[in-house]
Amino acid sequence: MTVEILEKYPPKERAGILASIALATSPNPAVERRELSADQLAILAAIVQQAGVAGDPFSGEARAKVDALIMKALTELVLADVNVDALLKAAGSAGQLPPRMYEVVVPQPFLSLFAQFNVRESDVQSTVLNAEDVQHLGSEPDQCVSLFSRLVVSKEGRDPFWAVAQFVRGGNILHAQHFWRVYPSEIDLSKAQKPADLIEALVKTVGQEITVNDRRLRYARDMPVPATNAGTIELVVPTTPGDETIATVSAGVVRPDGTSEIILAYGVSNIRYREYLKRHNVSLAPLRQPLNGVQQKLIIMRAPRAGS
Amino acid sequence: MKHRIQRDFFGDEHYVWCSEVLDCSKLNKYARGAAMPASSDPYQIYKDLDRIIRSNDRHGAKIVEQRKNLTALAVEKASVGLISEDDRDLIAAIVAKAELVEFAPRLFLISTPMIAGRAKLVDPSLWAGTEREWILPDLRPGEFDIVELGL
Repeated sequence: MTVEILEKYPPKERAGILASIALATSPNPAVERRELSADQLAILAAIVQQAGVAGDPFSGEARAKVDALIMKALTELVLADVNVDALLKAAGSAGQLPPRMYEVVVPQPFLSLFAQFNVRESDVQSTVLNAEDVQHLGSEPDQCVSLFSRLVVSKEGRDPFWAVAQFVRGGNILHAQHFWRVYPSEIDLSKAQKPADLIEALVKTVGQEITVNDRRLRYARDMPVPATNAGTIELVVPTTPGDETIATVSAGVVRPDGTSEIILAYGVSNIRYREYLKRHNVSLAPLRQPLNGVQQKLIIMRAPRAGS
Repeated sequence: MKHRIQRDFFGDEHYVWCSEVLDCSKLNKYARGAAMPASSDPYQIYKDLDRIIRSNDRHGAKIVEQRKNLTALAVEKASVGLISEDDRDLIAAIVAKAELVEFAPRLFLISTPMIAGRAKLVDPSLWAGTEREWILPDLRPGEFDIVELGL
């Protein structure tokens, strides 16, 4: 969409001219008032003509046509030399996109793990689409975490809870990792300000100790840990007979001094979480397999070197 | 969407046009604010925008105008160095690509004691009717709550 009359102006000036006209002709009172110059009025007249508007250009339907033409032309001028897909991907990694502009992927391993807690794909999607709060953590590729929270209040009078959906963020794609229900009727949320605080509060009740690079913890945020010789982050999950630990760890870069920083790490006891959900009348699916705790899980991630 | 762009890119300061009443139809006939025309009644404006969103009217004039204004503001702010050209491009891309529902209306419930002395009475020639309207050029976080109405 080209605004023909702008062709006679230098390319760098065109967007600015159009933006001034756009704001000066806005009926929206939340836009500061301003006057149009004679030149701008002439350009506006040409735009109105190009939009095929007859009569009052500021009446309802005519205005919509003029606005649509200006919007389209302005966007094309601004983004003419921009790779929009790459721009949105980079913005997604940086956590700068509105929630609905992320693509949500709910992988099968997530569904297999969380189906036992009566979590469906729609619960995950709904939490993102209706999020009341969003928290993007980390900036390193494959180590970025996004948390979305939503208060779920049922019409049937069930106990309200905060749904907290956790994702691994890569570009503008979110891969579902965990989904928790946090019940304010049981969990003290008086100090919670962000979604990660909801998880921290939950872990106080259902947490399980894990080890990250020899550091034992139940929950950690922005905590430095010594890096291993191999420059890895090692998560060791304990063997607890009759239980299973659901754990997560995300780490920042390994610094020159040999330390790394845990962005978010915690462990949740399956058994304790199940008992907690039962107290709130959540229907649970049978366990996927007996929780015999025989196998020790060891997840190793290579943390990126600073500056690499 | 406007709040998000203002918050994330424009320094989290908001230029807002305000009314002293939310829904003039709920007021008694002689009460201050009762004669507020629909075009300046926050509740009516909210309902109009909500209707556009719910009916998925992609060509809804008010939403097209919002997209146009936000993009134009980004161009203008970049031209005077208030935001970077990268941010300008990102705003233009987000605003152009965002789904209609991202433009769902929200009410700002402003705490009047916190903005004492900063609200400017709009020139009466710009009022929609005979009721007072206000401009606050620099509303900041903590001075208002964001409200979504369950219509």
